[in-house]
Amino acid sequence: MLEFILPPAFIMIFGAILIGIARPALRPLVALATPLVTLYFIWQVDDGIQQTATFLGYQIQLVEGSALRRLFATVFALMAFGGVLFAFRQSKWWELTAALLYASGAIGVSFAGDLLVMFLFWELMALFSTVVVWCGGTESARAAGIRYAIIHLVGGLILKIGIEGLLIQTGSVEIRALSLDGFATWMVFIGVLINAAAPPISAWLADAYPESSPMGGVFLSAFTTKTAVLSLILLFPGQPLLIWIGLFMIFYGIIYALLENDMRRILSYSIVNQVGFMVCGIGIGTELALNGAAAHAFAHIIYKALLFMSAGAVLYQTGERKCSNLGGLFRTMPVTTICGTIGALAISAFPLTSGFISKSMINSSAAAEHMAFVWFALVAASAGVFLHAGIKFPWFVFFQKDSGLRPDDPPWNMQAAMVLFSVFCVGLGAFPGLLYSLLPYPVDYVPYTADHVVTQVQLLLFAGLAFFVMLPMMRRTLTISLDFDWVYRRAVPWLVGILDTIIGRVLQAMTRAVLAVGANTVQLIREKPYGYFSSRSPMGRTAIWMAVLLAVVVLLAIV
Amino acid sequence: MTDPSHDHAHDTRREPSGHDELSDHWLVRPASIRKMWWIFAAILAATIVAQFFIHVHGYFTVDEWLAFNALYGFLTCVGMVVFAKLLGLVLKRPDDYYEIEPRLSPDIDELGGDKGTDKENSDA
Repeated sequence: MLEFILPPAFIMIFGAILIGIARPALRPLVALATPLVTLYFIWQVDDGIQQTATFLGYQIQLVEGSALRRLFATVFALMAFGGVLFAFRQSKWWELTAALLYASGAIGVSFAGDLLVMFLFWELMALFSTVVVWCGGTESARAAGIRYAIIHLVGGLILKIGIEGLLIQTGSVEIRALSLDGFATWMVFIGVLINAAAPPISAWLADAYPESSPMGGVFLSAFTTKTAVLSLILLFPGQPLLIWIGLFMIFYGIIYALLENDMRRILSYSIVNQVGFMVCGIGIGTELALNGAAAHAFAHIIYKALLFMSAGAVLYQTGERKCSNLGGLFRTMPVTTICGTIGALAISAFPLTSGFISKSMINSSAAAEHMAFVWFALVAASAGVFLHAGIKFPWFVFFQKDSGLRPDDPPWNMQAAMVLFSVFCVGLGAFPGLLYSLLPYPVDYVPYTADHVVTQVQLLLFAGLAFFVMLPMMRRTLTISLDFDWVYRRAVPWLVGILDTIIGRVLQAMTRAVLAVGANTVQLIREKPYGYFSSRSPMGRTAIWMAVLLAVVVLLAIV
Repeated sequence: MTDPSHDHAHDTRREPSGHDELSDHWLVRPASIRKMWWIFAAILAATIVAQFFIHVHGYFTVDEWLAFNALYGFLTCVGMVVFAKLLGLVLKRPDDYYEIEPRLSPDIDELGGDKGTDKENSDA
């Protein structure tokens, strides 16, 4: 054991910067080793406040440990390792550096002892996730990155207002359960929810993530929303409003994913859907529900990264992102097909996959609290997940009609990352104790009972039947679906344009009116004979000046 | 990092009409698809039959019924697909919708130059 505990986030920041400094031949080694070294230090963090520092005159708590915090930091580090493994031969080094700095922000938030530290790492994430979006390298990635950055900087600002309010009102920025009883806590609540992709500001996610590079999407899928989930568990456990926000996110994700054609945008909408399950669990707020939310976040990061890897592999090999141009890839991409399907089964919570042991905890917690409506909604949503992600994604990408594309499986490192995460998905599902032992509260939940398995399989397979029966209604169209981002991408510019036109016209009319009045006056003076001083202006002007001169002389004489 | 170019992407497209041996994969032959439907149907039936042997401990009585999950899963999914379809009528746009830039500010010259013709405004 080291006497002096280094904040794990700092180790990752150091490693990320080292990638840039290192010789090109050493960069892959540094990039792969950094998350593993960080993981070691994450497990050296004991419970309680471990490290404090002075920042801008405040005593801040850099590192605070607990089972929950270690759980999230662990999965963030694992995710960073899997992502680097997937990307290290294909990405430019600065994309890896940005991705690891982004991950270090997430790990920093996980261990943040107070809201000031949380805010600092929060902004680090916003900054470098934007860079990861930009690494997509296209014009649309640039534009989407700017929109993404604006949303997150505004979100950060709202969070900061809330934190400052709390500091003034209570004098403490300790991370503790807050209640929504004042302006400051509401601001913190809204600031965190923006990162969780809660309504109405959820469009940023499906707008930005699909524009990243095939490798960047894997990193983006993991950190931002799940740190928001952790923050909600720490700050607002059992806040009933979260149940309804979560349910809205769940069904929003399903409906929009059903309408979508871009394969990584389907997966982006299903992130919102899955985070909705976690947010709903946090709203229920019992020990079982919070355990479920934490476990689901852990499982979700793994299988969602796996899904983004398989989609990224397809994109990397074919350059195609639209389902309407894909299909039939199982012939030449067997590894990607199998791994993608395992990810799809895990997100659908099939028995023996990680989703089954985590999502069912949330559903059961709703039933245990006798929340009938919530439970029925969650069960319907579980079927809907299979519909929109579990079958739709693999079906339209790997099966359905033959697109004529015959790409090979991706390079070995991408395959290795996919296989590794597939093993995690199945391993966690087959041995639930592995994950349950890491959860914040003691677990006496048994996922594998005969009736639970039967009902879940029945539910999912009949949802699958519905998919194939309704297939004619799900034909892919070359369309996008309008979302809330329409407001700031179209409605506001349109209104501003109209206002601008109106103001421009008013100004023009005023200029014209003033000029017309002036011209008319001059004309009046010139044309009306003897109307004023004289009929001829030069003589009249001389007369005026004579009068002025006389007046001055008289005045001078008096003085 | 050692492979800076993506150039090999896009090379893989072949004409869909070309009959390589892969376009007649056994998985896509009508006979095997028919067979798979039968297998799928058998599994579906088996999940319901299993309920005769395994008592389901429901939370709200109705979920203990035979084939409740089958019916509920099927019907809610059909409902979601139909709802999405209807919502799509309102929300769907061509996928280049956002590629046409909005006109933020119409030119002042265009407005002022001659009085009669400034009908165009910013509804791009």
